[in-house]
Amino acid sequence: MRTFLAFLLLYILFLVQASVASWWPDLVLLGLIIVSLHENRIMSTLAGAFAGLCLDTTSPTFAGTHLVTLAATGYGVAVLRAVFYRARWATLLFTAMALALKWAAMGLLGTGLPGLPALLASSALTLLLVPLAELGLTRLLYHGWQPA
Amino acid sequence: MRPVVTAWQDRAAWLVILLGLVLLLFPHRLRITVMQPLQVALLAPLRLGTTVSQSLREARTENERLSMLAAQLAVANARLESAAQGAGEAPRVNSALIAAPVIDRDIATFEHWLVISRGSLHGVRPGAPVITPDGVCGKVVAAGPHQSLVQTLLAPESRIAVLNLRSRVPALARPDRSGRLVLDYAPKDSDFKPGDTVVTAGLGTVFPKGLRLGEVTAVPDRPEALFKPVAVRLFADLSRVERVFVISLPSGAQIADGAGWLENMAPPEVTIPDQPAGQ
Repeated sequence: MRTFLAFLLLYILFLVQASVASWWPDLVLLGLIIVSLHENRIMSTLAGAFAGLCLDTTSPTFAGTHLVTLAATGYGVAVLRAVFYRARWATLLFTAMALALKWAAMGLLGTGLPGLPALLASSALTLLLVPLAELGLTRLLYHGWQPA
Repeated sequence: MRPVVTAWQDRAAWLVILLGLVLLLFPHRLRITVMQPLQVALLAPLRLGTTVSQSLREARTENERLSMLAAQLAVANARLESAAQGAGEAPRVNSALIAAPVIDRDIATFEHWLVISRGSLHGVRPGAPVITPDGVCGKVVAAGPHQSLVQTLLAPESRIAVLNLRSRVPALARPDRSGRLVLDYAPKDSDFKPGDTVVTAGLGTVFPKGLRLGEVTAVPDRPEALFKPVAVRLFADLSRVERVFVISLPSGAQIADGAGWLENMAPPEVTIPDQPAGQ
């Protein structure tokens, strides 16, 4: 049930993101990172693939770039979960890395990379929202969960 | 050595990522073919929300347009009635309407006095008739620059000359003590029946002839009464009306004092402060 709610949340975040401007924070990426902190490796990867597939449908070229980068992000967060709970700042660092990976992949494949001002604004807002998203989504979906 | 579960999950995760990479190698046309139905399905809630929101906006606009049209038709009908009755006499009103939201009402009854957010700057003048698409509402008794005060037909001081649309019997409508509209001076042998439509008679100086006003609800039998008692229910629900239309008076039109007993004028002490609408 919790996993289903996590997927539903990612879908809702995708719908929000699909209807706002490109300078908005990357809500789907934020949601995915928080979900992957709590789900197992395969579920995190599938959540990333699902979120990426959703985002790819709104991409001008239907490239599959989001699918690969977000699936890799979900898997990476799930693997490195222990690091995250040793140091909270690691979430922020990994979000920055995921953002860089995503923008780089989109830039390399030429799949609808937004302009530099929008890209910088979106990245900055995404990083600013990391602590809030971590606190809010953890309480919303995984309240009471403790890392092993 | 890694646990079996973790190893299985790792392999499955890598498989998913690998499938994503394979998707990247697909020809562009094939990707579009595959993703198009998926896009339609995934974005369906968003499209539905947009469609519903747009439909609501369009319905609201259409409702406003139809309300205005209904009021314009009521006024046009009144003009035709006036022209037909007056045998060549020029109609007294314009067909131009000023739509005005109701922004306040008297707190005692909610239906005796209304304040509308249109004033002299919008062309509203004291004495102008106020209607709704359902029927006559009242008249403007004082107009500030941005707001005006409307005396409704249920205000105790209100009087209006009316006509039975079926039998053409004239009478004078006024509110009784219980707040209902009754007809005065209807001859004892006059023809009034429940269900008859009552329209403005056009005898005074404010309301043009033929505007729909209300429906006869009861004609109680009172042998001792000098005139026939007739109760009328207004078509316009004054306690709920949110938007009215002011019939703009032609430039230079004067409200004659001689017929004040038919459709009484504004109390002279009423003033409207110069305050923009919405404050």
